[in-house]
Amino acid sequence: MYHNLKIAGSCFLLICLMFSCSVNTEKHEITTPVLDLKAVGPLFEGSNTATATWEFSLQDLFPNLEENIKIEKAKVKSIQIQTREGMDFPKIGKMVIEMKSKYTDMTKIGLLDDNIQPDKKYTFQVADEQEDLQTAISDERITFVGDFDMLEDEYYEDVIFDLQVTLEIETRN
Amino acid sequence: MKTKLFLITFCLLGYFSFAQEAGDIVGVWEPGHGKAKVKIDKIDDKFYGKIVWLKEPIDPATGEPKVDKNNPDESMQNAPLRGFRILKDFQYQGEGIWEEGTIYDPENGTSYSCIITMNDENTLDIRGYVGVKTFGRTDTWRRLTRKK
Repeated sequence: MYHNLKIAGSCFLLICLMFSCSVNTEKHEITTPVLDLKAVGPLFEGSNTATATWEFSLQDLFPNLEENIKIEKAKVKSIQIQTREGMDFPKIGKMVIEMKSKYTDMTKIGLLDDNIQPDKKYTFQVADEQEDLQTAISDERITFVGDFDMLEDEYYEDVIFDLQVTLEIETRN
Repeated sequence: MKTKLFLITFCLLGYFSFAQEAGDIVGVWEPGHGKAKVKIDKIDDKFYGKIVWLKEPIDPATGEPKVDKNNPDESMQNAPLRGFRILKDFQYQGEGIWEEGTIYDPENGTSYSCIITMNDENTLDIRGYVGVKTFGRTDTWRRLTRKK
């Protein structure tokens, strides 16, 4: 009898401890503004690189939350790209998108396994493994890097893609 | 006295002619095996290197351009090897050394800690290691076009 009481008491204490340690989190879906993913020319046949920077403040991203916002988790949900309207574009092959911030390493977030045609919108395949994105969001400045294959023999001046990334961000209250 | 002055001048000249800066690593480099060429450039405040040329760009098994088929993340196994970023996140430490970065081996899909040391303006020692720097392998890379 005494033994059973002891077990029941321990279980009760354990449950109380679990509830007291649990944190309330809230999920948000955030889409970046349309970013200029720009490759500075002259661009030649082969691999080229385009970059875009997204600067933001957590307070502006989550205006309904109180100060000292903590990012618990973050992951990329979708990546979309389109060639800039009215711009002259070379033939472009596959593109890989990576991201980095001040305190995170560069990590691959998406792959477009298709040739890019002008005036068409493309959705990337998002990487299954995504590391340290919550830190990148906390840094409030993210650089997106797109490596693409230029298929034409001629050289081109600057090219700009419209990039939009949607993230699922979990905040702690 | 004259000899001393000559020696000091000689040493200073030697130092300044090989004094390195962070950006000296930027350029196109050829690994020891000669099967690829890697372009190193700066993005924000760190240095990155990607494959820009492959001696054998086509995979004989598929007849298609080579892809990162050994990537542990299956969703990224179709990423092309030409354009693949194999050197990541290097920071200049001074005295011709870049650290804190990683090197990726597409042959086995593994990333290793890495340290880059510039021997002279046209050669780099790339040392990949696991855990401790002692347990690693060094490869010497050669700059593709010599500085004038």
